[in-house]
Amino acid sequence: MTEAHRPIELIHARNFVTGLSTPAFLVDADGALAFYNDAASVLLGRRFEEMGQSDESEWATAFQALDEEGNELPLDALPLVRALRRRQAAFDKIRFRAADGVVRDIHVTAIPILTSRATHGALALFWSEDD
Amino acid sequence: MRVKIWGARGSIPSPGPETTRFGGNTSCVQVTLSDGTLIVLDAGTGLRSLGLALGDGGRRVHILLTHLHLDHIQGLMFFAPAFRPDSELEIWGPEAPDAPLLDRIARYISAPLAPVEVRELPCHVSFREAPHSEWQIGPATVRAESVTHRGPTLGYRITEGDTTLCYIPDHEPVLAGDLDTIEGEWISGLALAQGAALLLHDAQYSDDEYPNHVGWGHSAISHTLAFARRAGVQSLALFHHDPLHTDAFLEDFHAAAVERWEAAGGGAGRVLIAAEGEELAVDASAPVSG
Repeated sequence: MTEAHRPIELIHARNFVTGLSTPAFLVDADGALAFYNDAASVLLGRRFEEMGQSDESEWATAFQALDEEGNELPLDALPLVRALRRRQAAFDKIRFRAADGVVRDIHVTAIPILTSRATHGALALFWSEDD
Repeated sequence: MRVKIWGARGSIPSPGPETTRFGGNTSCVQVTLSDGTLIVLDAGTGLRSLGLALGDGGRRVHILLTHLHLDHIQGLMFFAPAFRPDSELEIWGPEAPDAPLLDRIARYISAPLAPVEVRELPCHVSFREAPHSEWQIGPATVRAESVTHRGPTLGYRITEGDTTLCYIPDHEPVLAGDLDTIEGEWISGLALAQGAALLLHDAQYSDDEYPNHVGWGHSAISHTLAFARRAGVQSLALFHHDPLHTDAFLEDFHAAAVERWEAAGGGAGRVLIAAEGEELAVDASAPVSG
């Protein structure tokens, strides 16, 4: 076979969030960007199609999470990364600077995408306090 | 390899005067390999007729179940070799988190839904979750992968020599997005079907019918054709006919599909429509023939 495909669980996750009006962000088992929906692109200030292949550090740089002093937070502080690495749900309120420079406060709920065999990725749902 | 269609109908058996041409039995496809090894794809009601055709001798049969919806397993309890002590059945199917394959099938082959229990079947029978890697059945290499449908569902790829048959009877790949443009890695089943000499694929709905069935786990004809094009298959057989689709409807349905396939640059004579009783010779070096 010439073309590998994503795990079915990740495909189903993308199918699920595609039609949601709740912003959603999906990463694969390596933490690389897999997908985010149109609602998330509004918050993030860039369409998913414009992102290209982005590993963990690249998307975290594009959408910078900040502490209260405006300093960049480490990856481990992000709920999505915690969910992926620790294989457990994570929730937090974070401040971030979008790709268009706008700074927003958002609530993030993240869960790992698991089967009995493996971790396939993680999914985050965002809620902006501006909504 | 040789393929015989024992049931091409989806959802529920649909016998009657209006379905005699394409048949009313539910999904069941016999694959006979070059050395006579017998593989059966799904155990719909067509399996009953297949069992009768095998005659009285004990047989070793590999049954590959795509999923456990009733239209794909209902024939198991009426499969004559299952009631012969000199028969050996290997039943493969999708794994699920809640119970082993045997226990899930036993929900059907047990009281109150059946007069027999799985453990009472006279044959030698084994139940196996399809592995995540390829495995051998006779001279063929078999691969199973999960596809988008309601509940744990597999598609199967069977390769003998240079010839590959792919079977995805229940499938709704379009939930990923536009099948013509989305990246192939996001289309469930695409790798499984890549370059197959023959793909038997879900074609349950017309494009007009599909909007009332989004999320039901089946394809509209547009999706079937787009999927087959993306997979670069040599031939496509429309499968899992809706129980409401009469012979007359399916004749027109097929003709329209052929026209669309060829208008999009597909080869002539490459879109078939599965009909009960039909026998096909599948070889990568030649078009599928009856």
